[in-house]
Amino acid sequence: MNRAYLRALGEAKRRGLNYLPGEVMVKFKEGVNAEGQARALSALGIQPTAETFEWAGRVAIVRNEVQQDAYVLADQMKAQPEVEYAEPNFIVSIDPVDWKDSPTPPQPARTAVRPTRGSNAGVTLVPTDTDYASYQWNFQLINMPGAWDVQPGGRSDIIVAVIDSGVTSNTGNMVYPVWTGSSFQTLTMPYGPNSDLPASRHVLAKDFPGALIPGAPHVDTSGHGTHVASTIGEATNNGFLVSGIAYNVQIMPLKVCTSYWDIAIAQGQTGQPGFPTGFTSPVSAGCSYAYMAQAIDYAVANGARVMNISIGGGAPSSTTLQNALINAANKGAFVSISMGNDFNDGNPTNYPAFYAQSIDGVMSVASIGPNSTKASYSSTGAHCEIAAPGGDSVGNSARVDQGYVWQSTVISSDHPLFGSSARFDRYNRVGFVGTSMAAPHVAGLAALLMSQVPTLTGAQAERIIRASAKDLGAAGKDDTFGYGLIQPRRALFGYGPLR
Amino acid sequence: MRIVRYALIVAAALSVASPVFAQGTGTSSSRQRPSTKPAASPLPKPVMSIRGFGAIDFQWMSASESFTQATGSSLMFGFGGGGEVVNLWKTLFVRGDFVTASATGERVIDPAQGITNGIPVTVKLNTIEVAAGWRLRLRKMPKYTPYAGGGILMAKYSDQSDLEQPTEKITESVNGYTVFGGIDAQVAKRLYVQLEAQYRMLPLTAGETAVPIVSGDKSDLGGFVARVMVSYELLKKK
Repeated sequence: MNRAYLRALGEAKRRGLNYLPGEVMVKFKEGVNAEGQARALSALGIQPTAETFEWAGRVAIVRNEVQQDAYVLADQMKAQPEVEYAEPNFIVSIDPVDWKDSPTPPQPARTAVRPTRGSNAGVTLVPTDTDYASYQWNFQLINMPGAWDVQPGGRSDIIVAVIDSGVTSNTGNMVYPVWTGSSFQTLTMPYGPNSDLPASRHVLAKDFPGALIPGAPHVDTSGHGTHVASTIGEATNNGFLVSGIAYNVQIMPLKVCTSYWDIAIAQGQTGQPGFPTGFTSPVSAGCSYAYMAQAIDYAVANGARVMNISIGGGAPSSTTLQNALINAANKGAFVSISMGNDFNDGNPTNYPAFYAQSIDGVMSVASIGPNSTKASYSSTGAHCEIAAPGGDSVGNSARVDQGYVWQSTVISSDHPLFGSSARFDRYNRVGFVGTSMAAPHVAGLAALLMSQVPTLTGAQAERIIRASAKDLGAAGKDDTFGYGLIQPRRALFGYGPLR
Repeated sequence: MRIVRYALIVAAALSVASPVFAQGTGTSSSRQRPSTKPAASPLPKPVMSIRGFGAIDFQWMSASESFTQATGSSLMFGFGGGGEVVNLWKTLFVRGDFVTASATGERVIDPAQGITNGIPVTVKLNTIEVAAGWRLRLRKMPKYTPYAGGGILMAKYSDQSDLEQPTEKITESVNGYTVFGGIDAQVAKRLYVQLEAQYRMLPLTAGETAVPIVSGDKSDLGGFVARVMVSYELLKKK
């Protein structure tokens, strides 16, 4: 278990930092061997150990207990002749604007019936999932039934990587001491997979900060990753809960974010008293650039055609993260990234969304609410490329769906902040709001496009998505909606010689 | 024609030279030679007739890139028929005809790179033509008659695919013009074959009609047409 990372993340959260203290990403020059790397570290008094030196794909994470200011540490590393560049290991977050558990327990799942394609004009697939009609305004708004009529659920050989807080694949119990307010108590915390996003469709899952339980892939202790993955690929037409866009594709759960309960367990392991601080909800999590970049490289290397990154923040630009995205696009992958939820907080430029404008095959996604209007929180900027439903609870309380995007995930109230118990094995329809919810709509559409045309590259998918979008707001591309609202049916169905 | 021209030159030369000879050798009247070439007989008066015809059109679409992406070629093959009145007044002719052209291909999801999605599409272009023109009679080759003319066109474009939703069907009615020229060959007493080249203009109006999927492609459903017609003379004025 990567205790050093968990300690640094907890410290960053506590101090409100946008980087991991005492930690930098270092790119060594080509040809520098282990001896050269050790020399560079020793110049700063760092002995390479499992705690101080960790490879994260194309860069090394270097940790220094003495120099906690990562900017200073980066400058010190950059001064070494063996180093091409060094930069702080910035952190961004996943944090829904709003969330709501379903008040009703889920009905038992039924066997999924593979929808049949309509053979006549106007015949479309409408899922039998019990909560589709009342709660999935988002899929109805973008005419997903019409899209499924062309491409029902995508191909099972398409892999979509969800770079997020993870998706639980196994069943078991985590038994750890956890601070419960006045002392440490050993808690038994059951975990298990989502029956409406079954583990049989998970491939090559990886926990980059480090598995909390030896031998187990990872556990989604936030619910964010599962919610995102469910938008992309939740089982559909099985009379259970809600639907997913590309319900046949494989999901590659890549955990790069660490939640409140991950920190709480880590602190319990090290005997650090007190609740973790800096978390605003049981869904919140912190995510380091190093693990995000490593996850992107891992996904590309292991066959993911599409990736979703519903992570972002106002942390500075990173050469490591940008290079990982460029490499992914060059290898033909499509990446969907959330624009950010900071419109009302000064509207800072969010990363990695900002990189999308200059990389063909990478798209930044803004959020709209149920009325096709800009979501109140959705960040804006010239780097905004496309819009998709992300929900907006403001002004929508009278609606049955209350403006949330509903997907199945771990019940949020099962793992409360400052709780004395937690479980991660019960799933239900949970409502989230944020650009995090918008981005997986675009990822799911890219997966359908690549299913329809297997040779499609990410850059080509981006062009199709942009060209088929429904223009919103000011005519043409704008800072609020980009090229407009995705239109899956139009993107998939195409045109004759005229349009 | 060449023989006539030579005869005229000789006649002109003789008419100039004959006074000289006449002065040198005697009276001009006794020295002139009579013309050996009889005057050309006039062409018979054109007779009005009514024909029915069948036509085969090979149309290369002006919006060539867009049609090539969807159907694999800018060529559409059509067939139809009509009727014409020949020599309505002198050698004026008028005609009307209907041709239906079609092509099949796959729907395009990325016009910029011509990426198709495997969904079949059938394209149809039905054209009504009303035209008039002039026939040129050849004295030396009375069975071959070149002609030229022009007319108006009324066309209807449509494309159709399985899984199509009602709002996705593209149907456009477009009006335009045509100019053409060809040659009419009589192959039997009442049977004629015409080979004709046309240029059609059927402009699509930006903002009012559908447009070609390839940006920059000519926004026109016309193009160059090679037509083969087989006509049968139904009636002939006596």
